[in-house]
Amino acid sequence: MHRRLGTTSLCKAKKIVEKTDGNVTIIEVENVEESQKPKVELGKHSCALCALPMKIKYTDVLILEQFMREDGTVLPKQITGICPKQQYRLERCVMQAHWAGLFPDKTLPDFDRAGYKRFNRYWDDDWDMYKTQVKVKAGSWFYVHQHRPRAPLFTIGNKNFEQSKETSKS
Amino acid sequence: MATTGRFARVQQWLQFHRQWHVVDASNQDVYKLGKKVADHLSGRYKPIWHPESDVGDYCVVYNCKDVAMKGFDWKHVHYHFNKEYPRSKNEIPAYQIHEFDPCRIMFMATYSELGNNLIRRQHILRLHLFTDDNIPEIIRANIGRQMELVQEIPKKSTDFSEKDKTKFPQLFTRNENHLLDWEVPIKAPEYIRDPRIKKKK
Repeated sequence: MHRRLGTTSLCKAKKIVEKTDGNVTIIEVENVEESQKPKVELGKHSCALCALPMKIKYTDVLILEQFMREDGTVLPKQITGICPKQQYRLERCVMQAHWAGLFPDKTLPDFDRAGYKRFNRYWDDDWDMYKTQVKVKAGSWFYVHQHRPRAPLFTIGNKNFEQSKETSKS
Repeated sequence: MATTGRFARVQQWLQFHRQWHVVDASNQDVYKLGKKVADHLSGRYKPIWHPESDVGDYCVVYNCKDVAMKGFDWKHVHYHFNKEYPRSKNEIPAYQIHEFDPCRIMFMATYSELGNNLIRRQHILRLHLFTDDNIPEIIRANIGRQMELVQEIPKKSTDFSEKDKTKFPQLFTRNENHLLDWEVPIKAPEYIRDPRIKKKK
């Protein structure tokens, strides 16, 4: 891997809007110092993700985080300077990472975790989310019962009937 | 290896000894792990394997409730149960079975990977599945070896320390005219569905 890394010698300043309240409100644009992080040189490409030698996957959490906001949404390509192909790929990878539960901080409180979405899932490629073929497998009646499934929910006299109703809906 | 002598019979016992394996099934693909567990149950990984001789081992799989499937397979994989009566078929999606009994999907995956032969019922009785990591003492005392995992578990964003995050290079440089307020999360407007449009069932 011949990825060229360079450290920041010039603090290229980003600008932030500041409001000071008194009798008079002043709205200014102020420079903010950039953090001292190593940067990836773009070289021939103008798109940051095309400059990388490999394709992005949903497991590349540190890369995906740089293109996301705090609530889990993706930044527009007008800000990040990414080509539309890579932007679509990035969005797909971010969706897959959210569904796999790799961003526990950045999810909404009412994130849809109904039914099959509670269970773990993994992806090989970002186009796997579009494959919607129904696969039928042979199920066997033969089973070695080693425990009572959902045993505390099924009691004689239906004491926990309401609890079992909730879980069957979810 | 000595084939004669006093130690020969001990070596014979050691060669055909049934080992107890343990796997943690969390974040592992059901079918890949099922294939690996089936190979260990039937003894196919051993060079002394033969289909008619039972050289299989015991396997203990825990954290079965955290087992993973690829993509939307939880929704798309339907298990077909044939009741052998006319017009009585049952197709149940995998997540419904998993909600009811977390161990059943793992069981069915290993059972089908053992192959369609007379000896698989003997082998499947040597498999012990547990929903979480609560393994009884009787079984835990027997365990001798931990099996290798089938898949890498992906790292969450909270698993990385602050040090690792600062060490990681930044990919895109911000424009001169970039304002940090553009990166602040915005509350999206609520989408209100037109009540006149009704979804056809």
